[in-house]
Amino acid sequence: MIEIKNLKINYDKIPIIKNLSLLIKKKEIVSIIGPNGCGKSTLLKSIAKLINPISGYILLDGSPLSSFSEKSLSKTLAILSQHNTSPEDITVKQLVTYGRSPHKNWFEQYSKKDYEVISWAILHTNISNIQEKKLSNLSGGERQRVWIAMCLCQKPDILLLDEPTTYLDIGHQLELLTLIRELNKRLGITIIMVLHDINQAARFSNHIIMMKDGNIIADDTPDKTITKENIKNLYNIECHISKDPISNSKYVYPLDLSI
Amino acid sequence: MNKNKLLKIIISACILIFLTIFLSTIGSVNIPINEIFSSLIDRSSTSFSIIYLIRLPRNILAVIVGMSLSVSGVLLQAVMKNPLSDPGITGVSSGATLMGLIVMLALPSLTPILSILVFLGGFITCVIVYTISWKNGISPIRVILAGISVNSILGAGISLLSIIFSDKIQSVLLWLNGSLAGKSWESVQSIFIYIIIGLILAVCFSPMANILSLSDETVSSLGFNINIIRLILSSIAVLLASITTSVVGIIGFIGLVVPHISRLIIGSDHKYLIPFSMILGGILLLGTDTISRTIIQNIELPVGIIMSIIGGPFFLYLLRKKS
Ligand SMILES: Nc1ncnc2c1ncn2[C@@H]1O[C@H](COP(=O)(O)OP(=O)(O)OP(=O)(O)O)[C@@H](O)[C@H]1O
Ligand SMILES: [Mg+2]
Repeated sequence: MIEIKNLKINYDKIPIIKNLSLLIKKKEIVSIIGPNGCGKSTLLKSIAKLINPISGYILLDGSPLSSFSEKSLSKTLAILSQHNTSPEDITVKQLVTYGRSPHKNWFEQYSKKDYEVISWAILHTNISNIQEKKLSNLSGGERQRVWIAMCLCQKPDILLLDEPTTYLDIGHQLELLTLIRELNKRLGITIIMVLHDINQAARFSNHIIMMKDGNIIADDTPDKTITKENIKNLYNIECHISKDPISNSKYVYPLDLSI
Repeated sequence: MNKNKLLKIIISACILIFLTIFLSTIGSVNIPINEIFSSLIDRSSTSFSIIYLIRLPRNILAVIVGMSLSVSGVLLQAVMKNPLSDPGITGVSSGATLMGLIVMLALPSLTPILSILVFLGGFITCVIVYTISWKNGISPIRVILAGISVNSILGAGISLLSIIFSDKIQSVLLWLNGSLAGKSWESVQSIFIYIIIGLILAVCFSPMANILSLSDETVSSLGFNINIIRLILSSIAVLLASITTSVVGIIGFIGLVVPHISRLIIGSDHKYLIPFSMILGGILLLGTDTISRTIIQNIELPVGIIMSIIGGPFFLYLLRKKS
């Protein structure tokens, strides 16, 4: 369980998140949606302890985040950042292998189990055919799947994904979201992800958090949060909402910018 | 293990060993190659003393100095995530230079412990640079900026000393430009063990250098303490650079250029890059030093100058060829 209380985060003295409180239950799939620059990535990074808040606190299963070392946190929590950099000539396999480092000490050899986890991650992100390639020679979507494989190697209990579907074609988007749902169902991994596609968020998550200007304006099930008023409030658009005939989740058709 | 890269390392290591011995026969007096071994029998012969007492120790010194400066450069480039970094940016060179000048020009009575003082000068300057740039951790850009300011302050001190003691500056010019002239087994002995330890540590910590090629956020989220990694790697680099400077003076360029050439040849995986840079650095300084002592009869040119004259154009050639 993740409990965030009165969180306040500044960048260069400019407040980005002002007073945010939030409760995320175990084994849920939570999607964060909201306009560009509203602080979604900032919130994810603070949960991953990559940014320290000015005030407020974050509890992970009851213990404050600040009591975790980088090492112990990295064994339970993995994050896929929105932007990733890597050396030019690293191979896919090498990068994915880095995902095991939380479970290793320096100089410790990789065991059979480590290699099994690595193969498992490579298999499930569907990158076996490119694993010997150099990362710089991959397409944006292939690269994204490699980074996700690295996160999976950490074998986290909590997986934070910042726009995991960017760069992916619609087929791979669906495949990835299905994989995420599988990971959640089979392994009980808590998923917190930032998505821009409201319909995908509605279909694949138990919970939606709507953010605007560093505040949460709605935090509930997809059915309750996805309303004309909330969508208008977030994105300043008029929309029509109906049901997805297959998954029965809510489906938003954007109509026009509000006047 | 990548067989191809391993092969490159082994071949270059063989070349290095061969050159170290072979180049001991070349100089103002050329000695036939077969005397390398035959002179060992007669220890009173001139060829024995030229090869084994004069040239070989100097060549070995050139090799270990070249190795440590190159590895120092590789490590600092990894720490700073900046391919233009070299040992100089941490303040090692200017700190060492200033201390060297103070001792040689103003306090000649301290000359017996010159090496130790020069080492301390470089090391302490670097500690100062890191201390003033520390703010919730090491940020490469702050280290680089702090390094530039400290370098310019010390540079002013160096100029000032050169002007005040302009009558004596002639005698220290050779040292300022880096020189291996007249170095004996004693110099080799005085630094050998420290440099070997530094180089072994660098090889052992090569996985750390690799990790730093990821973004800071990724490094942290994989459970590493990025400040500790940066501190460890910087310390190894600075030790290597300041120890060599204390014995041979300032030899620039090699710490910048060798890592680049090596990366073009063997890639950026530090597991291979560090050993390869080490060997290439040894070869390069050995070759340059041989040129500096043979190109003009009876005159020793500072190896640092030759290094820049040869290294600059060669580096440009490589860069052009790559793109
Ligand atoms: N490192 C930084 N330094 C200063 N300001 C920053 C920094 N990172 C983000 N910001 C600012 O903080 C605000 C929130 O950024 P954040 O990245 O959290 O937005 P986001 O909701 O993830 O947006 P997007 O949908 O575009 O990814 C933005 O206004 C951004 O300009
Ligand atoms: Mg973002």
